[in-house]
Formats: sequence, structure tokens, C-alpha cells
Amino acid sequence: MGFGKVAGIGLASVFALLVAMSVAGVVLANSIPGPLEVKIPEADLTGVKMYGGSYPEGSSNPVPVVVQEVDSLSCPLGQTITRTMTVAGVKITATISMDKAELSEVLMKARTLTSSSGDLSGVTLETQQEPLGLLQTVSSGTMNNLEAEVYFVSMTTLGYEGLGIEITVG
Amino acid sequence: MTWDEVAGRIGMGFLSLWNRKRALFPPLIAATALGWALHYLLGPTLVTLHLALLPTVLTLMLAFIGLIAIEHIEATGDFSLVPTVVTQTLVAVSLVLGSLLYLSGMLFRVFPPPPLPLLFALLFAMEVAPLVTLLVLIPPLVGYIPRIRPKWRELRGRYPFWGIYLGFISAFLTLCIPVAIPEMLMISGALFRIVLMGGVLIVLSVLLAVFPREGPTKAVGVFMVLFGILLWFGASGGLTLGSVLAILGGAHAYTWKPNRAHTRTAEQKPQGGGSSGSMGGVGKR
Repeated sequence: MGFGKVAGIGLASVFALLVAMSVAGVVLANSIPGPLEVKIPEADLTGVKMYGGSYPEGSSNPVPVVVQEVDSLSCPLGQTITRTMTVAGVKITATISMDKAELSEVLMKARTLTSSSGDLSGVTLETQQEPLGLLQTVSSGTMNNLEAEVYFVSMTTLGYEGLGIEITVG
Repeated sequence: MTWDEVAGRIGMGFLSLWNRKRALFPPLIAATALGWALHYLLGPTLVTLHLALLPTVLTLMLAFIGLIAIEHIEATGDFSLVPTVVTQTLVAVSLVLGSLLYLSGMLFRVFPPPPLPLLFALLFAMEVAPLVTLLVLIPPLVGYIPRIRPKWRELRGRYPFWGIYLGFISAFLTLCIPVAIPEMLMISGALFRIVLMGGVLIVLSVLLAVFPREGPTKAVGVFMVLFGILLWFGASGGLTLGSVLAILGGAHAYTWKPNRAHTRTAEQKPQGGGSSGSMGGVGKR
């Protein structure tokens, strides 16, 4: 077998894997560096830890952030993620919307995190040394109209339905 | 007309293009510099970005064709390889130009955006593409210096250079993920997976360097291709291009054969015979 065939099989396998992930609506172990705007009409969360932190860590000029770690996050009414990036000076905005989404092992570093209403159970608040400041743990809960300005988000798996992606320039 | 004949003609076209490099490179490089200067001076827009990208891509394509494809045929001296090399070059160029055209069309809203996993893959690739392009072109560029050229050819005859080199770049890209995105360290098991996969790619590259013989390089090449695919499970595909380079490096290692002429020359040297750097062999590299 020649170089072309071996390379072709390898690259075709990767392409097939990405297409299969697209068809299955699953993304594995991915991270999205910010800035991002995340809007979730209804967020059902379990195993939540929230504390203070800084971003980027170890930087000479970090900004304070709220760190949220969530074991599982369900968005039955979907979510919208907007990311604006500058490529060679050109501003590009990508808007990713999903009708439904299920995320596991989510790590979010947000500048702000607001919710208009909701209910939380198993809440504990503990003072911590800096930079954590205050550690809040929530065993489960629902947050409505959750909006966050996020610097970074990562998740182990992301399952979704009804995906829409829009790219706008300028 | 058969494909081999068509490929032969295209190969001659590549050669005549490369033979005019002294006339082509200066205006291309000047157009690239002018394009980027205008892009930033006139205020960055999508149109000026494309005006800057066009000569940049043409310059890199010409360098790729001359420094890698034509150099490969010249080094082997085996002109029966021309159709294969031309076909592979056309496929590589078409894939790169196709991806760029799609991205361009997507930004101008001619083509729809890709599904999410493919979008992530493209975004990752875009971030490291300039660095990877430079890293890939540096060795053949240095090797093209007349004084170094015989040693560069000898090196590729004795070792599966591209397998080793692309394997190391792939490992570097994979191991850089926690440096580029330190938050990945907070995800349970992510550091372990990244270090494991990056480490394995380093070990495979070292094995290629230590055992540059046909049997071992075939086996290591297969493993490298497999790890290029496995990188998508827990290491973000080595930021996409890490996976691509591991697959290409592995495929090269799998098909590499030592250049017997160089090996013989090296073996004869201690006994006082042979001259270094002769290009008599036709080993497939």
C-alpha cells in the first residue's frame, strides 16, 4: 500500500468520525475559549460548585471571574452561544443555537452569571481562602433565563438536537 | 490519454513553474507584503483579507511544489514516480484550496457553516495553521541551500525524516493544548489523556529515529496513523492539525524504504572507500 492510500484511509477515518459525531449530535471533550455569551432559557443542573477565580490564571493582568463546575447540565429549551473573534483584524461572530442540549462535566469561567428565577436544593456556602473567596455547592436546581458572559467553557460531552450555526462578519 | 500521461504533463508544468522561481518568487513575495500592508492600512475587511491571502497561498503552494514534490522526484531520480507524486500533490493542493475556498465562501455567506464538530475542527486548525506551515517548510527550505542539499537528501535516505519530524510536531501540538488552554487541566483526566497521547507520539517518533529499517518503520507508521485518529478521543484532535500530521507522518513512515546507496556509502566509509552524498539510489522516500 502506498503513501496516498495509507494517508487517505487515515484522513478519511477522521473525516468519517467528525461526520458521525455531527450526525449523532455529540461533541467529545471540547473547549471553547471566550469571550462568549451564553443564554439558556431553562437550565437543570446537578452537582454544582461555584467559587471565585481569575482569568487567565497566572497572567500578569487577570480579571476576576465566577467559576462554575457542573456535573450535568440539561437545557430542555435549548441554548444559544455567541462568540465574537477577530481573525487578522476582521470581526467574525458565530452564533450557535440548539433546540435541546445535554452537557456533562462542564467548567465555565464567567465574568457575570445572572438568572431571573429558579430553585436550588442542597445549597451550602463556605468561606474559603483567596482566590476562591466563597464556595457554593448545590446538589441540584433549576435556573431560568440564565445568561452568562463567559471567558472559557469546556465540557466532556455535549449532546444536542436542532443545531443552527450562523456566521456573520463585521 | 491515460492519467499517467496527464500527470506527466502536469509534472512538467510544475517543473517549468519551479524553473522560473527566480522570476516568480520576488513578485509573489512583494504582492504578499503589499496585500498584508493594504489589509491593515486600509482597515481590515473581508475583501482586503482575501487580497492578502491570495498571494500568500500562491507563494506557499509554489514553495510546497518545488521544495517537496519536485525535490522528491529529483532526489530519487526515478521518473516513474512522477504520476504518483503529481497525483498526491494535486490531492493535497486541492484539499487545502478547497478548505480555504469553503471557509471564504462561508464568510461571504455563499456556503452554509459546517456542523459543530467540523466547525470546532476548522477553528482549531485555523489557529495553528500559520505556525504548522512554517514548521513544515523550514527543513526543505534549509535543505535547498546547495551546500546542505546532499546532506538533506542523505538524511531522508537514511531516516524516515518526515515521519519523525511530523510525529514530533504532532506531539508538540498535542502537548501544547494545556499551555494554550490551561483550563483543560481542571477537567478530570484531560491532562492524563493529553500527556499520554503526546508522549506516545514522541516515543513513536524516537523509535523511527532509532530503528530506521523498513520493518520497524512500517509497524511504527501504522501505530502513528492510529494515534492520529485516537487524538480525537480526549485530546481535541491535537488541535486538528496534530491529528492530520500524525496520519501523514505515519503514512510516510509506513511506505519509507532506506536508500541503499547511502547506507552502503556510510558502511564503506570507515574502510576508506566511498564518497558521501552521492545520489545513486532510487529508494522510495
